[in-house]
Order: sequence, then structure tokens, then C-alpha cells
Amino acid sequence: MFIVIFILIIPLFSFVINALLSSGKATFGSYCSVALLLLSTLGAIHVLFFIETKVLTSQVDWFSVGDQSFKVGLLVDFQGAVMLAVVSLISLLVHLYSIVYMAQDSGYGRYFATLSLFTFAMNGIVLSNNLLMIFLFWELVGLSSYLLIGHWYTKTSASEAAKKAFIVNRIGDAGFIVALCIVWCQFGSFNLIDIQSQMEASQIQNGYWSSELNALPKVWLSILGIGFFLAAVGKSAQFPLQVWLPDAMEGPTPVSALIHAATMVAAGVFLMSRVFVLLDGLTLSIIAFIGALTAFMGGVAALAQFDIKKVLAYSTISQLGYMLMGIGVGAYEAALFHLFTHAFFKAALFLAAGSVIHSMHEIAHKNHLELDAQDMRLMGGLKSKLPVTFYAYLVGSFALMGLPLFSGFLSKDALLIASVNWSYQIGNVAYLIPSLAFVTVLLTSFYMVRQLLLVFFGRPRIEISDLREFGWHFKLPLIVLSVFSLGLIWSLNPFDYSHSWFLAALPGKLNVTPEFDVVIPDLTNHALVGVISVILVALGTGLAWLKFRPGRELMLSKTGQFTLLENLSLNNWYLDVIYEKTVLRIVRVSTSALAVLETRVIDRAVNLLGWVGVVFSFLLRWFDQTIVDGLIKFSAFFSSQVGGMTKSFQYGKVQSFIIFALVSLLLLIFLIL
Amino acid sequence: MLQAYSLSLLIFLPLSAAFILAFLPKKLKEHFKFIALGISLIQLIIGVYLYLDYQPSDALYTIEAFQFVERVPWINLDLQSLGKLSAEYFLGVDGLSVGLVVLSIIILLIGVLASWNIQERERAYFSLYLVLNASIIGCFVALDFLLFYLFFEFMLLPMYFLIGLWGGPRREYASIKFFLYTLLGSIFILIVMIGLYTSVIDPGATAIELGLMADGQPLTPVIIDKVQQKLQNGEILPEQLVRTFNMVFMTDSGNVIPDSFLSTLNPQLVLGHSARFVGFLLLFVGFAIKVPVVPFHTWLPDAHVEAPTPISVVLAGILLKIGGYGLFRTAYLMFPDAAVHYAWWVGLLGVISIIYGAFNALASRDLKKLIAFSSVSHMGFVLLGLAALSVEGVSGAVYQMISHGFISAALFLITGVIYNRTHDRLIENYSGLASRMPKYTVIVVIFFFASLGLPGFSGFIAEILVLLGSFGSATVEGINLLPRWMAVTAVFGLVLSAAYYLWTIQRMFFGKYHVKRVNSDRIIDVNTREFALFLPLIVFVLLLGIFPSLLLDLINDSVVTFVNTILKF
Repeated sequence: MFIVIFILIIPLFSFVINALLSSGKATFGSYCSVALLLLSTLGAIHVLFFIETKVLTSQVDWFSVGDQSFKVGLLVDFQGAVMLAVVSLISLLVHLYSIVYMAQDSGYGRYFATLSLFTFAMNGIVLSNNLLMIFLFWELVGLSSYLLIGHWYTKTSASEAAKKAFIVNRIGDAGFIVALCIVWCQFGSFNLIDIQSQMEASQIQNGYWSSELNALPKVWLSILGIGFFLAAVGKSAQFPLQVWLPDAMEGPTPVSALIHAATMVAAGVFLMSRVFVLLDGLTLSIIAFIGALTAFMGGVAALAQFDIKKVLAYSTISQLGYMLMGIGVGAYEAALFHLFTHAFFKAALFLAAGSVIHSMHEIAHKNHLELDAQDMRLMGGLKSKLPVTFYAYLVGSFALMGLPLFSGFLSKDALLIASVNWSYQIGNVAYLIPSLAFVTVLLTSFYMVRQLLLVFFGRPRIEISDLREFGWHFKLPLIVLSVFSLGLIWSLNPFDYSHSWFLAALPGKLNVTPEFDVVIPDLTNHALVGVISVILVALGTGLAWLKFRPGRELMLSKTGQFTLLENLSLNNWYLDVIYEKTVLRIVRVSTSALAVLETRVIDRAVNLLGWVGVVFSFLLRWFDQTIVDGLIKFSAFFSSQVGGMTKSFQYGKVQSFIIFALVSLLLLIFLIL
Repeated sequence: MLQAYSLSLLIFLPLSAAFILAFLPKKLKEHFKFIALGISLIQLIIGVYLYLDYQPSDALYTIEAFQFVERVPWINLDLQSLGKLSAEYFLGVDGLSVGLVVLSIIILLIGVLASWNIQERERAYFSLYLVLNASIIGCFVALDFLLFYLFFEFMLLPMYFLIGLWGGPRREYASIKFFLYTLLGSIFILIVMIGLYTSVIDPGATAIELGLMADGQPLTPVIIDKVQQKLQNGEILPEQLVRTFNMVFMTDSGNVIPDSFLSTLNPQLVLGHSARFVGFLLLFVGFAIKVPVVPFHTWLPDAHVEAPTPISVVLAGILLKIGGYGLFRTAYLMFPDAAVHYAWWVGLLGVISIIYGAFNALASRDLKKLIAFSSVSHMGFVLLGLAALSVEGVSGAVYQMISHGFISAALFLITGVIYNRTHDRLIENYSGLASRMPKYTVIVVIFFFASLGLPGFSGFIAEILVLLGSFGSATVEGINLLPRWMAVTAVFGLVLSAAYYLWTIQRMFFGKYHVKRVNSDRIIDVNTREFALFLPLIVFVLLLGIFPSLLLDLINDSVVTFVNTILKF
């Protein structure tokens, strides 16, 4: 257990070192980070080999309220250990890569500090043994993501993207909090193992979902699942909250690789696997549908993008959709498998894209050009100039497309088969889900081949003769990530995921209470599914080749007319426009309506009341002075005294009020006594 | 010595210092602030002592449940057929108040430091400030209703002048509004106080009157039981009844005279409603004005915007909490039946405050107004947690009062920093301040995130406890006091608070550096003195966020007793 705490804490040290070092010593700080993360990666790998089927857990009291105590604790099981190793390794590589990528940046120390903070928070999500702690780190991850997207805060687009990311995520977090409330109310515990056993013992009777502690109407079980799912929808950029992720590409590219592709966005999938036992049939169907829909929508949105990072961002949305679809169809192990393979190949793609962007900047700088370094229309023919980058990109793309022999084939195959088997068992509209998933295979290969052709093949579209690839800081991470994108690393038989060490090591089927209507599909392999998906990949590749093969660059118009589909894709289904016109408009209208209510109605009513009081007190004084003989002298005397006192404070009305207050007080006292 | 008189010291030190200040020669005016600082530092030492020496106790609501108790007879009048009037000089703290006393001491100290640059009428300023100091502490430690009311009213006076004389351009309007509002609330409280006085007896003094025990003998539960039984059976003659302002006796329903105005068995009717319910509502409104709860809040944005920075700090940091504390100590404990009866409405007002405050913050163009409305929104959580009457909810409400005390103090200091430099608080006039004021930006980001409930900061613990507690609110006769949609709606307030804070950061601090209508030379980063004000606040907010037991262990037993006392009724 000690080593696990050590792994968790190390990135925090790295954060502190980088946050405290002066800017002159920032390079030293960054090498410190790399050294520390190397340690934690080695530790994580050690834990991974040591853990096998064991589950390590321990907890201590954090604080108590009444007789309930809230705990902090760690949980390491096999899936957590793999996730920990993946996060540590990719974070290490990204830190290393960033030393060169960010070398010229003025916020160098701040960058490394936040990157380490992120790693700490992400490790926290993976290792926490209770939902409250997961939420705590979940928010911390959100904060570091906010800071990293807004790293270049003087750029308006970057600061807006950071704000958007955090607020959209906060909508998801609202779901998380509601789910926490339900869990606490129903189980009186946040401990994952506790919850699992209590959930297995809970029942549905007469429309009530009852645990040992409490009974809630059945609908809260679904709300619970949907609350967690909403959190995942925010973090993992699913429909309808996926709009923040493309904008998040405003952050530095290594950040996009680590946070907005490999790890943080996958936290939603990881969370769903942690709370899988709490999901009922209805929730799972919703998750499956949203997942498949997002996979498809992301695939379409990636089709016509010209920004090299945007293609990858939409592709990430699409792949995360696959994973959540996997959760929804009950194959959470397949979803996790795809999470891990995707982490490596997507990180490879992003870092390679970063290498391309860095080179484009270099060219622009040398030739004093003003150009958008991320526009693929300006690239082309980079294959020979950036060989390592190219091969990494190639391997990453093949894995993403799901070509046999590459890691993506195995995990995607598992997901596709799970969805097919699940829809067999459900029937009817359920077939829509695997259909969308298959179409997305075609879309994926189309946009990836298009990107490869535009960036690396054909003739260069700008002068690149003196371009050279960067040093080992860039090459080493690319090579390592590419190696992990090969199928052999994950399964000794690269055509059959069921031989994969990951799926083999996961515990067997979960116990599911039949009343929750959960359908768990059979994961037996169907060769047919693999064959169909390979055919679809070939089809997509062919289409892309027809349209973008070398020599057809002239077809790319910079300002030209786009078809309807291209417009839909470029604008991400016009979601931002739709939200602007609906949700944001509603918020704006209600904001100004309430502001008007505040100033025009409530405040005015108060002022009116005050005015009435003053008038009334004047009347009262007049009444006193002219009619009630006995009171006259007293009140005149008193008011002149008070008036004299308060006149210097530039407000004459106090005196009358005080009289009014005094008189009413006296009256009240007499009434009561 | 310290054990016996620490609370009196806390009150009389600043009071006597204020008196001395008033007679010091004017040429010493440069040193007035040092006197105020010295007093606050001594108070801090006593505060640390209180914190360390306080022993959590789960005694039921009797005198023994309180610590650092000082109890001396104060006013004793024989009113013949109306019985005897007795008011005491009675101080003490329990888990509900000890945290607030320590909070007040810290915030008042920070307030003195923030007043360091006051350049006009120093004597008046610091005297009034010390009077304010004494009356705030007095409010939190007084256990006699008359004494409490005295301090409560007394607070108004220095506050009125501090806003009215040292405030911004519309200070007259703001201070008079503040004055009228609070006075109106005070009248309501006064009415109920008198009502309670006529209806509650002091079992100890009555026992002496009845000859059940000798003067000077300790009051034992057996004697209390005897007296209460006699009282409920109507065996005590009217002239033998010793009425009291003692808040602890008012909490025990056994001490309520059966045929009195606020009798628990057959309460009299006021306008067709049970007098007890009316009493609860009057107290509720009286303190809700202070909290403030929508729709009784409109004094707050004006008072805050016009008040000088240190006064805003004290106002948001402590004064609002007196409203919350008053609800705990009087309305809820003395009228538990009504508290349960009106839980739904109180919860509803809490949720409305959360959402309404957040929307108005979103609409604010003035930074200080934005923060003032965010206070309304965050104090809504106090009300929601209290209405739930579950242990989590009430703990969360107390926690939120302390946490918001620190965070809102820092937020008003933040607006003070920028206002000090430019005399302009309009958000739209600034852009890209991060490039020119990096340290300031870091502080702003820390406290904005603390306020929007980021885990790791104190606000998160408070808000999550309130939400857990209001979702699973206490059940009375098998029905939850609060419907579950209230907690779910309150969660929406968290989304809104992220929206208004992040939008503000983005507009004021990010983007290209640019200021409007302001001399750019004035935009300089925070200096050491200003930084020193923020540092302890950062430490407290983080400590309470990471180690909640620092506070929860102190309040836990009292909260459990509080909840049990009310639900038992």
C-alpha cells in the first residue's frame, strides 16, 4: 500500500517544485518532474505486475458528522492498476515531450506545475476507494484542465475555451452531485466495495427501490445512473455536451494529447465502470444510444475539418462514444480495453500532430510567413522530412481505424461484437446502435486517410526544404507510444481479443439483480464482425483516396463553397449555434428578467414602503403636534434632539423614522403586556 | 482566571478601548489604529485559547451544555401580579457559537489591518469599529435574550455611521436603507422576545420562590422536573412565577407556562394562527433580513457597494452570520414545533435565495455587487441545510457560515484592492489584468474557485454536506421535511456560480491588457501588506477544506443535540 500512496503523491511534489521555483530555474524544475514521474511510472508498473487478481484497499477516517464518518481511502484492483500505469507512462512521455515543445514559452514553470497537478488529480480518480474522493479529484482534474486550456490566457479564444470547458463540465458535475446525494441517502456510504455489496442486496418492490437503510421510489435508481452518466457526458464530451472538447484544442498540443485525448476525457468511462453495478436497464440503454450517437456525430464532424488538431479532437469524441456505448451494452470490460488502447494511439497521434505543428511554426518563423500552423491545406509532403513523426502517425492512424495487427482492432472488435450481441438480445430499435457503430468505422477510416494524405503525402504546399525533425525529446515518446499501439502488445493472437491479457485478467461476470433489467451480452467472438469492419475500413480508405489522393490538392478550396455535409461537419452539427439560440438565450433572458425584478420590483417596493413609512410618520407627527396635547411636547423635544444629532449626517429623515419606530414600539409593548 | 472571564474580556476589552480612544488627544491619531490592532491581537490569543480549551459536549440543552459560562443576576424586578422579571448577565458558548466567535475575532483583526489607510476622522472610525467589535462578539456569546437583543441593536449604530460616513457616493441612501431594514427586523424580534418573556419561567428561581431549594443551591434536574410538573399542573401561583429572558430556559418547552401567550399546549391565536407559529415567523423574518434571505435582501447589495472595504469585509464575514446564528439559537430552538411545520417554506426560501442570488450575480456589472449577490446565493445554503434538520444539513449550515465568513471576507478584500487603485469597479472596464497583476490574479483565481465550491476548499465541504443533508432531510411521521427536488435545484446554483465567477475572470483578467477610463499607471500588483491580508485567509480556507474535522469535531455534538432537541418535540 505504501508504494501506491507514493505513486499518488509524487506528482504533487512535482507540482510544488514547479510552482515554487523561480522562472530562472524552470528548466531544472521540468527535469525534476520527468525524474519524479519516471519513478512513479516504475512504481505503477511494479504494482501492475504485482496485483494480478488481488484487490488492495485501505481507508482511514476523514471527518465525522453525527455518527456517520466520511473516509479517505485507496483501492487498487486490476483495472485501476492498468489505468494507473497508462496515466503515469503517458504523463511521463508528455512531460518529456513538453520540455522542448514549450521551451520558448513564458509560462514554462506554470505549465509544468499544472501538468503535474493534473497527473496527481488523475491518479487520485483512479486510486480512490470512494465516490466522494473520486468527485474531489474529478473537480481537481477539471481545474487543471481549465488552467491548461487557458494557458495562453492573453488569447481571447483560449480564455473563452477554458471557461466553456469548465462550465460545461460543471453541468455534468451537477449530475454527479445528485448521484452522490442518492447514494448517500440509500447506502449511507460512499465506499465502492460497500456500495457494490449493498446494491446486490437491494431490491425493487412495489415501485420502491429498497436497500438495508432506506427505500426510495424506483425512479431514483434511474436518476442515480443518469446522474453519473451526465457527469461522464460532461467529462468525456458526449452528446449533448461535447461542444467544449474541440475548443479545448486551444491549449498546448501536449496537453491535448495527455488530457483531452488519452486520460482525463476517459475518466468518464472509468467512472462508469466503477459505478457499473448501480446502473439499471433503462440507464444502460440511454448510455448505449448516446454513446453510439456521439460516435457517429463525432465521426461526421471530423470528416471535413482542416485543422489538424480538430480532426483528432472530433475523432476523440467519436471514440469515447464507442467506449460509452460499450458501457451501455453491458461490456464494461471491452470499454475499458478500448480506453487503454485508445490512450496510446491517440496520444501518439496528438504528439505527432504537435511535431507537425511545431515544424510548421518553425517554417513560418524562418520564412517570416503569417500562417495558421494547424491548417492541413498548407501541409503536404512532410513524410520524408519528418520520418519518425510520419511512422508514428501511420501506426496511430491504423490503430484508430482498427486495422488488424494493431491494438485498435482488438478493442473495437470487442465493442462491436458486444453491441451486436446485445442488440440480438433486445431486438427492434436496438439494432440502431450497432448500425451507427459500423457506419462510424467507415467514417473513421475516411477522415484518418484523408488526414494522412493531406499532411504527409503529395507535394509540399509551402517551402519545407530546410525542415528537420526535432530531437529525442520528441522521438522517444512517439516511438514508445507507437509500440504500444501494436496489437501484439495487447494480445498474443492479434486477431482475437479474447486472448488479450487484459480481458483475461478481469474478474468474471458481475452479479446483476434481475429486477434491474440489465442485459449482459455474450462476448464470444464472431469472425463475421471483424470481416465486416475490415471491409468498411477498406471502403473508407478507398473513398478518401479517390477524393484526396496526391495530385488532387487543387480541389481544396480555401474559401470555396462547401456542400451541405461539409458545412454540417465543419460546424459540428451547428450545436454551438443551437445552444447559443436556445440554452444561452434562456439563461440571458432569465438573468435580465430577474435583474429587472430585483431593481424595478423588489427594490422599488422597498423604497416605496420606506417612503410610505416616512410620510406616515410625518402625518403622525402632525397628528401629535396638533391634536394629542400631552404627546406634543415630548415628541417635539425628542425629534429636535435627534434631528440635531443626525443633521450633521446629511440625512434629515432619520428623525422622523425614529419617532415612528419609537411610537410603534411603545404601542406594541403596551399591546402585548 | 481566563477560563472564568474570557468571554467578558472579549467584550469589554474593545468596549473600554473605544472609550479610551474617545478621550485621547488628537495628535496621537496616527496611533489609534495600533490600539485597535492591539485589542484584536489580544482577542486572537483568547480566541485560540477558546478553540483549544473547548470540550465538545453532547449534554442536552441545559446550562451544562455551555462552556466558559458567566452568569450574574442583572435586573430583578418584582412586578406583583405579573410575577418577577429577571434578566441575567449570562454568557457562554456551545458548538454552534464557538466557531463563530473565533471567526469573528479573525475577521475583525483582518478588518483592522484592512483599515490601515483610513485617513479621515480616525478617532471616530476606530472607536466605532471597536464598539462594533464588542457588540458582534456579545451577540455570539450572550445567552440571555435581553442581553442578546441589546448587543444586536447596538451593532446597528456603529454600522450605520461606518457606512454613512466613510462609504461611497450613495452612502446616505445605503446606510439609511440598512438601518431601516435591520430596525424593522429588530422590532419583530423584540415583539417575540417580550412574548417569550411573558410565557417562560426560570425553574431555578421559581423553585426558590416555592421553597423547593435554598438560594445558592445548585439547580439539579430533579428540582427542574418538580418545578415543571407543578407548572404544567397549574399548581404555582401567578406571583410565584419568576419569568426570565434566559435563552436556555426558553429552549426547554417544560418551562413554558401552560395558559400563557406562547403556550405549547393551547397557544393563543393571533389573526387566526397559533401564536407560536406567528412567533416563529416574526423571529424568522427578523433574522432573515440579516442573513439575508430573498426577498428581504435588497439592503445588502446597496450596503455592500457603498461600504468601505473593511466594513464590507466585516459585514459579509460576520454580520450576515449573526442572522444565521439567531435562527439557530432562537427561532429554531425556541419554536421547534413551528420549525418543523414551516420546514418546507424555509427550504424553499433557501433554494430561491441560491438561484435568485446567482442569477443576479450573473447580471451584475459591478464587481462588488456581483460578490454581494453571490453572498445571498451562498447564504441560501445555510437556510437550506437548516431547514433539512438532518445532522448533515445542519452541520453543513454551520460549516457554510464559517467557510463563507472567510471566503466572502477575502472576496471583498479583492474588490478593495482594485477599487483602491482605480476607484472603478465596473467589470467591463478591465481586461487582461493577469499580465499586469499576476499575484493578484492568482489570489482572485484561488478565492473565486473556493467560492464556487471547488473541492479542497472549505466551501465544498459545507455545500456537499448541505446537499446530502437536504436530499435526505429529517423525517417526521415518515415524511421527509424537504422534497428531494429542492436539493436537486440547489445543485443548479453551483453551475450558475461557476458561470458568473469564470465569466468574470475571463473578462477582467484574461485576454489582452486593456483598461478603460483609468490611468494605467495605477494598475500595480498587490503589495506586501495586502498580500499579508490574504495569506491567512488562504490558509484557513484550505485547512477547513482539507481537514474538516478541525471544525466539525468542535460542532458535531452540539449539532446532534440541536437536531434531536427539535425533532423530539
